[in-house]
Amino acid sequence: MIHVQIASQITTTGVHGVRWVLLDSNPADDGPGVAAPGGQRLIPSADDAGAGPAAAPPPMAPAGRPIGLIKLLVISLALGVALWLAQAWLGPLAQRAGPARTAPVPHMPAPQRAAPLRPASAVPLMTVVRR
Amino acid sequence: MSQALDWHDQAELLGVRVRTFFFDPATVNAQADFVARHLPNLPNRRQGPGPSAHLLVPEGQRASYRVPGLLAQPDAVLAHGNGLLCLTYKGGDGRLHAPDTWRQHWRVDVMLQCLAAGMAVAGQRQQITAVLWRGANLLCQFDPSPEVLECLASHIGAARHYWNEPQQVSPAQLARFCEPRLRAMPGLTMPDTGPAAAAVPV
Repeated sequence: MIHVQIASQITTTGVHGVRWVLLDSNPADDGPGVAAPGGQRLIPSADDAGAGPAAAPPPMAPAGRPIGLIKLLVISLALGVALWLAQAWLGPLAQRAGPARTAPVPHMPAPQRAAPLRPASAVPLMTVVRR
Repeated sequence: MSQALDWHDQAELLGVRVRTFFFDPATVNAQADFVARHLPNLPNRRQGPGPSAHLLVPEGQRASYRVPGLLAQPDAVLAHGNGLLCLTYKGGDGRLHAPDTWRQHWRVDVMLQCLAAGMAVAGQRQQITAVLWRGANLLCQFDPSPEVLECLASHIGAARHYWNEPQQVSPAQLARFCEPRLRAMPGLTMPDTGPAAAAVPV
């Protein structure tokens, strides 16, 4: 860390008052993913795809390997593990998708339509008896 | 007995206390002594006994000052008593400033550039450094708030990456990177808020 002291006032014989701040002796590149015109972007945009030699190189991991290759490797590994787990728990995929799915379905006759309801009778259901 | 220099006005602009001294350019530019010509409110040896400011390198030469990630070449650095004066006088647009309207025409980028250069000088020399800018008819001293210093100091790495500079950025690049961030900070007085809001009586 580097101590930086800025004077707050000037007197006739010197400086007076201190505003200080500590500077990192090794400032990290922790800026946002934007760049000046002509500069290199941290996050490649869709416009960079197929831009040819003028396109910015892909961002590099600290070890120097391209991040895209590492992503592809991780995705492939995860896909393989998922397939293996599915086979171990549910059985082979070819066995499950075999005869039950491919057997011909017997023809079923269409169900007969129910007979339409007859109109209700005009005879009253209840008779009032007067005494 | 040390006393503060005379200033005509001061204002809080974007987290920086700016003290201004207006002078007649025809009279001041005719001075032979560098200090009298560029720092007209600073007493020199001719005006009385006592210490005075003097250039670290001959006039016309510019030394480089470096802190990690930041390289500055201020127009002049003077030793003044127990500290240094980091002076910029080649920047700006050369316009004349009026005492009642100087805030409206204030150049924040020039102010931040001067502060960044002063930080490089103070960091390399490990001395208390005052930051000054001399315009056509105006001398300014910048007294930054901790927020402004923190913003400039903490964004050197990000500015280096933004400008695609693998080694270091210049004060102008750091100033341009930090200006929108400072403007977005709450509580900092904007230069374009008018003299009524920004004025601070001396």
